Amino acid sequence: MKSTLLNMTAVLFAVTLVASAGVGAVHLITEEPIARARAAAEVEALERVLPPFEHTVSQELVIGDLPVTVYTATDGEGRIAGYAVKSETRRGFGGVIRMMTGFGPDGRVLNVNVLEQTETPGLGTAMAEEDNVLLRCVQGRRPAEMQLVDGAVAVRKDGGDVDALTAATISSRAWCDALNRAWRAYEVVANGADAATFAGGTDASSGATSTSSAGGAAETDAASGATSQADASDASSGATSTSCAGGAAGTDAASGATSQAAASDASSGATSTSCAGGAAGTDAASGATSQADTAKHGRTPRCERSGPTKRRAPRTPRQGSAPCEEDTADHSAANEATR
Amino acid sequence: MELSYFAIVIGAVFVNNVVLAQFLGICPFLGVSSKVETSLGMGAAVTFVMAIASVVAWLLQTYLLVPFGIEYMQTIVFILVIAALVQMVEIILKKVSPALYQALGIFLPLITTNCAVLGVAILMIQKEFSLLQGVVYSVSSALGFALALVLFAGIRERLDFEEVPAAFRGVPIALVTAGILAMAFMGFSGLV
Amino acid sequence: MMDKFRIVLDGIVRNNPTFVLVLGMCPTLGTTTSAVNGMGMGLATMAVLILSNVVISLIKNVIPDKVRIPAFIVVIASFVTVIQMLMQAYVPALYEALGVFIPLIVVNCIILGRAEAFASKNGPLDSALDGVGVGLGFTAALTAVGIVREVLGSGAVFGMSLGIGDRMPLAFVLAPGAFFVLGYLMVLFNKIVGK
Repeated sequence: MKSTLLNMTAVLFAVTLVASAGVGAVHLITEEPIARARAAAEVEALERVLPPFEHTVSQELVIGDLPVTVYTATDGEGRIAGYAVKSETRRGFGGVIRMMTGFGPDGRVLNVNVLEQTETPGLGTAMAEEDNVLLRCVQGRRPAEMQLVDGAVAVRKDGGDVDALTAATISSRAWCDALNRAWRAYEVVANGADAATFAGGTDASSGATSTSSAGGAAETDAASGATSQADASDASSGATSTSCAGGAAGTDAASGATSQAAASDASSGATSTSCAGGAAGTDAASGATSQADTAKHGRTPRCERSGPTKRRAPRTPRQGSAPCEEDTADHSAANEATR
Repeated sequence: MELSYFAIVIGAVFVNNVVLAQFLGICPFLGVSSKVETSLGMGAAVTFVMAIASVVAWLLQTYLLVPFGIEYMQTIVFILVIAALVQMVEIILKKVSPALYQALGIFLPLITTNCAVLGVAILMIQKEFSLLQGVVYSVSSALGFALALVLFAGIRERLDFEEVPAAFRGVPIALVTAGILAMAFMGFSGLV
Repeated sequence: MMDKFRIVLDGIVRNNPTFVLVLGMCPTLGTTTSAVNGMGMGLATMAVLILSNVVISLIKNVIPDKVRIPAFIVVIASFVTVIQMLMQAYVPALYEALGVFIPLIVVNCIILGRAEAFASKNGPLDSALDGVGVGLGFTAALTAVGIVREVLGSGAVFGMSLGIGDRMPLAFVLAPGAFFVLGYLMVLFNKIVGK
């Protein structure tokens, strides 16, 4: 066919029309399977962060200008099995990060599953792996009992007690932001806190309201809670300074000094790797469930040095370990002790 | 506090360099980078196309594809926009700088099939950037592309004088060199 | 019959898109972090290649010469979108793993290159066979790179751990490894084919 203007435009138009029609038709055909695949993925995401459940009821909230969805999960007898919260943050190094956090009925973080992220491969993407250092520092603990900065969970660099991923501080901060939003949404649904006062964690005014949401969790005493954030070195008998345990140890004024002792029991002197120990040693009031949480994971949790991690290899417990804290003086000493 | 623009720029140019870390734009990277001048010209052309393409793509996505529920037309719409833009750049360049037009030769229309241009547009949407963030992201990515291209051209110009084993001559040695360059760029990882 | 077979064989060896024509480098480097991903990408590309080759071969006589390329691009982009939707519906895990490289099939120089070099000059059956051959060559190359990178970088192949330890040099699943593995495999291919 000759390349006259009429022919060219007519043919291009025809081709585009037929192509669009074809694509539209396939879209109609695949719309349902795609929706089904998405729903299955959603259920799988819920199952990964919650204990066994039968039904869920979802609620859409807006926390700090971003949408959050809370799924209240109940078991066969109508008791609340837990809360799964899907939250997102725009502060990721590579853009949006979406995650699903599972909270137990007592407010403990059961699991965090990162659903979407486009962070730097090998560094920020470690947050999506099964056993990453961010998760290890919050798993089994109540956010209210952690070392909070302006009422929010934060990385160690900002004064909190979450270990950041190696060379991925921005990604780690974003992860904490998403977790904070999830936590706030959980508080709103579970304890009737005020959604409007969430201020992204760096705003001074949210400090006041955070203590009330911690109070909402019924066990933690805000006034004495702040002062009892004991120094990590106190809790862990000196050798190295992992304060994942320290933060949890500083919890509960109500059940008093026993929590300090519990943390050092768990760490038994030489090494301090007791992120899990912190969870185990926390709250006498809800005692049994916390043990169950750590027991559920099957292996001895060790805070390991967060080096580059593989993308897909299933994580097996490694021989030997290193403390959470990367720049401790007796890093090598602690290593020797655990081998 | 949204992700700072500084972090976007450093990320796109160094940490997640579009060529050396994300593998977009490899074909022109291997094809154009034998001389530094052509690399600079190509880099400038790609930056120009990417900047405009991302603005148009963002607007189309936000005001056409999403409201009408036809996000699945994204690939077709974006590639047509890019093809049209490249045509325009060709016409403009022919008028404004015939010398550069000649120097770039076949590579100018090939910007259409440059995975980097389409890839960056799609990634910008995936990361859910705002319009301004998206433009910063794509311009930075294009600059990262130009940087990698120019660096590589500089190395290749010197490689021409070396004794390369027969089996490695041409593309294989270029790939190995690119790998070493990629390793060097990995050193930027802890920057932000 | 033999020359039909020859078309397919040429696509795999003499015109191997990765090792000989050096086309489609972006997905070769970007999706071969594991053998499964590499193979999946190769098969998806082959599907688009076969479909677009056939259609372009059928409409080549009604397309005015000047709008050849844009028309081809529309056809290719449509098939890419179709494959994209089918993958999203039926193999969502692979779809997530391949990510942005699926829509990027549309700018894969292989497809436009074969459309120009073969489909616009031959009948639909031959074009389909060319698509099969080149597609198989591409898939084989991607799978090979994927296997090497997965074994050296993750100590596994096709997802099954080889038990050679889990402290493999991470570099192979990251950027530099991709370049190195492809470069050396290319040398190997040249040696075998007899450069």
